[in-house]
Amino acid sequence: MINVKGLKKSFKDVEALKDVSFNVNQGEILGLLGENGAGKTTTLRILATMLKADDGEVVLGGINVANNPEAVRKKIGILFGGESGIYDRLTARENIEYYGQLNDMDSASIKDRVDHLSRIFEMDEYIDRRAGKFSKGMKQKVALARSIVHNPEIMLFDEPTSGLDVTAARVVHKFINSCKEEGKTVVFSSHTMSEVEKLCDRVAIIHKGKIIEIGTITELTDKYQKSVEELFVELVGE
Amino acid sequence: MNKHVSIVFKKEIKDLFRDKRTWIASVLIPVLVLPLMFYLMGMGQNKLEKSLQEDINISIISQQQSDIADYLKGAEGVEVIEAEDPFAALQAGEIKVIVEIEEDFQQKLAKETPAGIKLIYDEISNESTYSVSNVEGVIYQYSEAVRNQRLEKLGIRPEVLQPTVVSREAYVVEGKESQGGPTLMIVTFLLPFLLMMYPVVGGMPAAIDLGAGEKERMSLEPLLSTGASRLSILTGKYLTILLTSVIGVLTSITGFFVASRISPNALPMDIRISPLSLVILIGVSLSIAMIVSGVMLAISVFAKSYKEAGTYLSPLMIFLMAPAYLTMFMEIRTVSTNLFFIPLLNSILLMKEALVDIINPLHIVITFGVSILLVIAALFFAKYMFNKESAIFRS
Repeated sequence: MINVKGLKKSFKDVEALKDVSFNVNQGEILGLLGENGAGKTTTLRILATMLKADDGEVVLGGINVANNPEAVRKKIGILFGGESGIYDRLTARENIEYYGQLNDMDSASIKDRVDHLSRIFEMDEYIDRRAGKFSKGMKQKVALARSIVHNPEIMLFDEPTSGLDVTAARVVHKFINSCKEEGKTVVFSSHTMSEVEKLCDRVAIIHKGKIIEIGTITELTDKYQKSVEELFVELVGE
Repeated sequence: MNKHVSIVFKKEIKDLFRDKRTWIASVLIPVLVLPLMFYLMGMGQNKLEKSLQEDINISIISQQQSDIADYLKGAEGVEVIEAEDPFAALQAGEIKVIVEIEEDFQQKLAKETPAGIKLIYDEISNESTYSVSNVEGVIYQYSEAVRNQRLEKLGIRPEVLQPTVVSREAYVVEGKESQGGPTLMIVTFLLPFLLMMYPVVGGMPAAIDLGAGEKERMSLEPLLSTGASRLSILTGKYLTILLTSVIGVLTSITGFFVASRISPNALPMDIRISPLSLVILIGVSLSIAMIVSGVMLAISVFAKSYKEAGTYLSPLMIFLMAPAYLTMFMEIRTVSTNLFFIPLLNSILLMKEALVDIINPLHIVITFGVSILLVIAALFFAKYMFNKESAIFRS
């Protein structure tokens, strides 16, 4: 479903990605595990067509991102951690509808989808209220609903639980698991070992712009005879 | 693409007009500032005029009895106050003018040689400054009376000493109406100034919110990952800023006319603008709004935060004010055609020409040609910034 080959990207004289290659199968969750500045966000931004790679190739759902970025974007949903990027002066419904419209959904489908998402994320109480006074957890739910309003095949999560409290983080975890159940392909970046262990089918450890190890949790722990945390520390250094 | 432009535009308008900052900057400030300013100015002016219509309190410093002192005591429009210390009374505002009469005034008058009178006023006080002319007028009446007596004594008619009668009249081309006389100077400065400034005042909050604001609230990246192209998103945002700029201009002009209604003395508006001139004014104003909207969006996209965008965009107002001040004392009839090649300065000059009904096709073509090039440049600048990774992801 996702094929990344020889990805390179520099910002002026900083080499953010040196040679990143990995594949993700349909319905699989791949965790990109790395320190801050390792290249996780740059990789996800290239996958989401926001950045152009200097070299290498990315194919999502059979479409090369360099050739047809708009078609790729209709297949992906993306969620960032930290601030949820919700428009405070719009209602939760308007926020979600906006993304449905931009992803070329018709009005009837948007309405059905928003009602459905409102139910599954338990947002019925505040779906028609302006988002300005929402708690962080409520905003994150709106952001989640917004990212999948067009029912994308591929989900990209960039440290989605960063800055969230335990309850809100649990909502995100539940959501990522539901994506897998629905057969969606997920790439998920994090620097939290427990999160990666809990959610991912496979883990790619990224360090200084390179994938230095990739495999299932069992494969990696068996190979190194260490826990994921110990393995990570050994590979990237203290 | 058009569909996405329309979706972005509608959303941005809804979002912006739910923000009270937009209402304040695009509607309230432009509508209220001028009427309020001129209302307060008018109040001050009315108070001054009222005070000048009343008898002016004066004090006389004179060493001996004189005809002029007696004349002033009985004259209309002035009231002589006996002050112990006239200078203290002047500073306290109890009197407006001190009339100091020369020591040998009466003797000089008798010898028919010029006799001196000094009028002392308080330069800090407006009432005192304006009162001097009135007191001078009363003394002139006395001088006239004495002159006429002397001429009569010599058997000369006063008219003999007045060989000319001067009157003023503004030249108006046959078939055209007067453009408003002295009012014109105020209007030809103020109106182009407003049409230059208010696209920025009206559009700036929107520009900041739609560029730097998206980055600060982290909504830009999710937006860029939707099915809409960057050009559609940019166009929708640009049109939103342009609309708020135009609203800023319209509301400022409304404010201008409201100000002239409530304070006709402070802002007289007996100016007539021909339909063609009006079209030129609207066209020039729209071109300025189109240019500044593009530039503001580009700068805002480059900025990391609301604060940074505000810092970068504020000098734009000073930059636009400069041509208005530069042309303030320019002679509009003889202005060089070469000046119409200078961006923004040409817009101000063309608006000034339109306001005095000078329609010069060459100036119009050059100004709009240069403006179209500037609009294109501003749009390319905005597009460049919106596609520049280092600007979009600058944090």
